[in-house]
Amino acid sequence: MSQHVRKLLSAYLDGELPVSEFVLVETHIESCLECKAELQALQKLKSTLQNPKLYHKASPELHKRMQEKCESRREIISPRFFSFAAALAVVCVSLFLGYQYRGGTQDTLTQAIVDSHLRSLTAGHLFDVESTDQHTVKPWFSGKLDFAPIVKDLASVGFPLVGGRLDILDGVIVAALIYKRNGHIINLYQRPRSVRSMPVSRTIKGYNLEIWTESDLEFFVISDLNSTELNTFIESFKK
Amino acid sequence: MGRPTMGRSKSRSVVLRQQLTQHLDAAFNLAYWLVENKQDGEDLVQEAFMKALLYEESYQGGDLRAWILTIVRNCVYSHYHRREKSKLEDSYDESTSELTSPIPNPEHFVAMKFEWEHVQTVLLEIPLEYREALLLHEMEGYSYKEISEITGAPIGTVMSRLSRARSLLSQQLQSRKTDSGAKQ
Repeated sequence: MSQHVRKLLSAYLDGELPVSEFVLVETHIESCLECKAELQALQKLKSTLQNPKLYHKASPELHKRMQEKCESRREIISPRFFSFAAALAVVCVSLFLGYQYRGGTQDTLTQAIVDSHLRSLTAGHLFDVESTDQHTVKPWFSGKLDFAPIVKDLASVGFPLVGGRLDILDGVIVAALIYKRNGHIINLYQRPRSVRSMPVSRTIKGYNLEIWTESDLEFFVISDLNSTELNTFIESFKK
Repeated sequence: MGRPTMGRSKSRSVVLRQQLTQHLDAAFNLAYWLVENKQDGEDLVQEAFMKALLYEESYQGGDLRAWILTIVRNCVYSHYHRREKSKLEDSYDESTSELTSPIPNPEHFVAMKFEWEHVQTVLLEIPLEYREALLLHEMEGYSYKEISEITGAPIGTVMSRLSRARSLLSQQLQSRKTDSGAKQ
């Protein structure tokens, strides 16, 4: 009799044996009562294991819960959503910080303008060049700045030019033109336009402040004039 | 039991969700037999389904039931690692445990009867990996190759696990029968 094939009986029963071993088992069990009987016992065991009573089905409650879970996307937050939400959060935070930075920068600048205006009024440093002649004031800036400021005498519309000076705003050397209007001082600052330039119209500590850009220059005007008159000044300057 | 297959489509997510619940019984049966109690089984199935829904993108098509059973299995093993590591360590050393018992006489086998109530008890006494292979094959009808894919074990290992599982079951059922006979 050939050697017993006990180790192969399980896979033989499952139809998972390669042909060569399948033939070996087939041949062996024809003549081996022990292996044949063991195979029959395995078949009985297999049949018992497939008894539906051994199969534990999920309870109706679990079915209901899982059905609800599967039907509702609201409770499911996919990794893709997390990625999207994270990206959105980064963008929002960046925008917020950017806004804050920009606002902070703008606040710093407007505060510097107010400080400079007050300083010019109180420190006796209203102008470096005192002249009502734009052809005197403009050349005075030549060689002192890396840009050519626009200088206009607006005496004809009630805003006479009284002089000019150099000043520093936000760490940048700027041209300051001084105009008068019925005893009110108007400081008009000019500097090359920056990437952060944006129009502003504000009232700070009772002073009206306007910021605008034109061509490659950025303009800041501040005065205790009312906003209507200040806007008239601006419109006149822009012509 | 059917083996639904699905290709990629825009509505794949919806289809997957609809079909997933069709395999809830299979998921629970596996979980129940592996953790040995209903409550843990339900908790693990719920965990597995939530993971399946959360990571539905990882489903690449094919046998959805095998996919969810693989997740259930992973949840069960994680459960044991978290709570009952010794359960896994009690497993048989597959490299050394051989069928060394002497061959009983043919009458012994012929006389063997396997009552499902006894099998229910004894099935929980065999090592987890053996039980798992037996459940996947006998109750879910998976081939050795499919069991290999679900469990990550080589086909040869699946083959030996099934062989040993049956041998152990037979031995323990017989031993139980002998003990009860002696008491009577």
